[in-house]
Amino acid sequence: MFLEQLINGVTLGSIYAIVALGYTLVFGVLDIINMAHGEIFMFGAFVGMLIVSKAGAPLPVAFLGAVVVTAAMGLLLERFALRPLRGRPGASHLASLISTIGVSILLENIAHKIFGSGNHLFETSFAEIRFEVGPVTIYLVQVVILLISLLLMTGLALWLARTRAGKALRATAENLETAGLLGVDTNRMITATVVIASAMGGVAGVLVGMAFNYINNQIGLSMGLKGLAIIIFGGMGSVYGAMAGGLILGLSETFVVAYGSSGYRDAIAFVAIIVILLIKPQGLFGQAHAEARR
Amino acid sequence: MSGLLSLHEIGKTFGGLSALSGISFEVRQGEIVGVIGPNGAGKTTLFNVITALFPPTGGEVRCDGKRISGLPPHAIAKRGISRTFQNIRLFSTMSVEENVMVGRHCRSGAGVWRGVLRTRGQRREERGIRGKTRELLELVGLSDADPERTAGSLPYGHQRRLEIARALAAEPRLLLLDEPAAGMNDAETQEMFLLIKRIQSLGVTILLIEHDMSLVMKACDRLVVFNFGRMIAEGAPAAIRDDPRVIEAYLGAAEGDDDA
Amino acid sequence: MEWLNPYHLQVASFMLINAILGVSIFITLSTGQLSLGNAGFMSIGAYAAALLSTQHQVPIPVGILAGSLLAGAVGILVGIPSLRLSGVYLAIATLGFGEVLRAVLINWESLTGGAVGVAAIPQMGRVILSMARDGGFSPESIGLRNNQFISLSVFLVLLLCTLLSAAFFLRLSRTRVGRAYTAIKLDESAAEAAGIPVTYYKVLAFSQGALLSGFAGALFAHTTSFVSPGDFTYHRAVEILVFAVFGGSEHLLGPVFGAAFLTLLPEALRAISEYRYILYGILLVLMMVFRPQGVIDPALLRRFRRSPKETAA
Repeated sequence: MFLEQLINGVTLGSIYAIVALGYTLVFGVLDIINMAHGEIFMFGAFVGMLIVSKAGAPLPVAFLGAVVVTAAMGLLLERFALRPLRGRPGASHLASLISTIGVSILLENIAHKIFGSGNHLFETSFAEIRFEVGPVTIYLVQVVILLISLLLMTGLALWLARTRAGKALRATAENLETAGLLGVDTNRMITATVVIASAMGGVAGVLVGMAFNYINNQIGLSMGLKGLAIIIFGGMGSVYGAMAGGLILGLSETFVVAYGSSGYRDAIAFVAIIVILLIKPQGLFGQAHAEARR
Repeated sequence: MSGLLSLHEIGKTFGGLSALSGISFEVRQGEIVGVIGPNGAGKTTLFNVITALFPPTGGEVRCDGKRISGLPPHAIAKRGISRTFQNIRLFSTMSVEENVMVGRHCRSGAGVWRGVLRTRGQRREERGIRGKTRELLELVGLSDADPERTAGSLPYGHQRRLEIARALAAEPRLLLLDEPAAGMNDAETQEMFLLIKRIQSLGVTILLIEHDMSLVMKACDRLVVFNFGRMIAEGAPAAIRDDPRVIEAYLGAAEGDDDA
Repeated sequence: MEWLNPYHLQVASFMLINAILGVSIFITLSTGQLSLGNAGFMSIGAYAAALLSTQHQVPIPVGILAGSLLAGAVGILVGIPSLRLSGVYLAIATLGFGEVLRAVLINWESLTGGAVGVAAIPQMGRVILSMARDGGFSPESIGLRNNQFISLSVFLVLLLCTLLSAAFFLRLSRTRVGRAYTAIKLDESAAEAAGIPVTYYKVLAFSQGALLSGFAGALFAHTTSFVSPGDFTYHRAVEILVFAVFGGSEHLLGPVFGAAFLTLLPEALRAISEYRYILYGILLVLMMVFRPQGVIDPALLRRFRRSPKETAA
């Protein structure tokens, strides 16, 4: 059923978009790929699972809990794995890549230690509630996921465009040094960025739990890889690129699985970026800067 | 008879903005030709166009009567055109010696297998490269510098000289020097003048961008003057000095830009 | 001869295979290209060698050679379009190449055996043992049990391969080609203007790295006698990068050291095996905080070198 697949695709795509936003915010400001983002996202999912399935608390509490935990993880990540490397001679781009990889290995294994490697049920009280609109079946969960993602994305876009803090963040993303000269406390801006990005990862974690009804310690990696593909596809550091890229990926995965082969589902993201990089190396929404590729 | 280097109606635009237009002149064998003009006149862009770092959007560059525009930069180096950069671009963590040896690349040929197997021919070639390197370091006055020292740790003036040695290692017939005396005091500028003359005496033709007017007047056989991406005058240094258009270009620029 | 423990020899064998992988990423990095495709190229070498020996009874050395060359050829095909990319774009695109390749390995079941992989690949050590027996030699005559002999011969073959690979590229680094690589890494435009055909050397280095990864993969197949797509995941790609950055990416010995040390570390931490990867993660962070250039850097090597001037050639 085409319409149902469309709805599935948009739901999945909006989650992808939220994951990708976490990467793109950090890249935009720091020029760093935060390889630990996928694992922070996974912790968000686990915290949500504990609150909803184990403690039986309502969903908003799960979101709150996930946000608090992942924001704290973002704070620690910035303080101990990113800040010490900043401005250090000899610390290339590779150094921050490796230190965030170190954090991701650490988190993946802590999760393995606590939660094991099996699937955990993520039960929401309204998982089975659905509407029949004509011939189309829509689940309430999908509507909730869509609403929350839309809210989050518009909130972020407005915050970046309208508020003082958002403008300071964009200035920092534009040029770290200049922003510093203009009196922006860049260390604080960077911390804020990593914390916000991580908290978005936490929200996305709960959304994934709601969408798939189960989680395990592999989702960090698979979502992380897709998030990476999306930001390349959409253009590094581009907020709208991440949103559009997420939607496109969600839709194409859903339709390829529905009308084609499911075996290649996880490769679609990468086929897409390889194609786009060859046609338009700076990504769909990326700014062309010839000098930067020198 | 056409010159060693001839430019025909060279144009270069960046995203719709014209950086160079209608540039035509010739450089004859053995000359030192100075390229002068206010900052932003397009002098360095001209070097980038000749060496194909930014290929021209119009016109053509000929070397010895053969078209070279359209060739990649390394092929142009092989045809005998080498350059230095305004903001020195040495391989900073490589040693002094290695920097010059890299410049020798297009005059040597040992590939992967001969290199790894250290064939007799490869060893002879390496000895030749080292010999030539010593010779060039001596020519530019760096024979006292420790050849194992990293290029980035050299004092500024020595870096300029090392970059010239690297360019000369490719045995250029035409050498493009982009502000070789920038940031130097009078004594150092005088040494640079002597070095440029020594290079000319070896049969190398030189195209020179320089802001130090006394150096330009002393060193150059001919001058071309750029302003706003166009060539506004060409001639002997004495004639250029008195050319009203040149004076106006400099004074006009000096009003808005005290750096010029 | 009791000290010749097959388990220790096996760990040592994996150290050597990883050292070759470390060298492979170093070569591409030495021209400034950050490729995460080496796990993918490794899988090409491994599957080619495995399938040639199991389905076509090709002798092991021929299969290894063919696997390496195939990986190198694919390296050229991937390297050319990759010229347009640099930095993290290149890293993620090559990571993507590896993931797409893995999806192909999983889905092309008729050729690759799908997710299960290829089993019963002739194991180097066993083949050497049976050849030795045919030649009238018996391991007992030098006081070795069969499994000791097998592990030992695998180790020695791998040691030889590793030394040859490292020596090859160590020598290369001190030639005209090696200087061109370094120059390209430091300043591409200046290198091009100095007469170096940058495109040619970048593709050359990319495919050399691919070829060496394929070589390591082929050796891996004939060491474990079993390969599956699970051997060539994202984790493997990242692990290879970590060898280079942890050990130091400025000198060839860096990745070799990184590979050896980081392969040994989890084994040494077996006593606290539950926490070893947690410690591994913490170690990476600490390393980047306190020594971002990696363990081995040129300054360290200079301090070790007694004589001030190295004898060339």
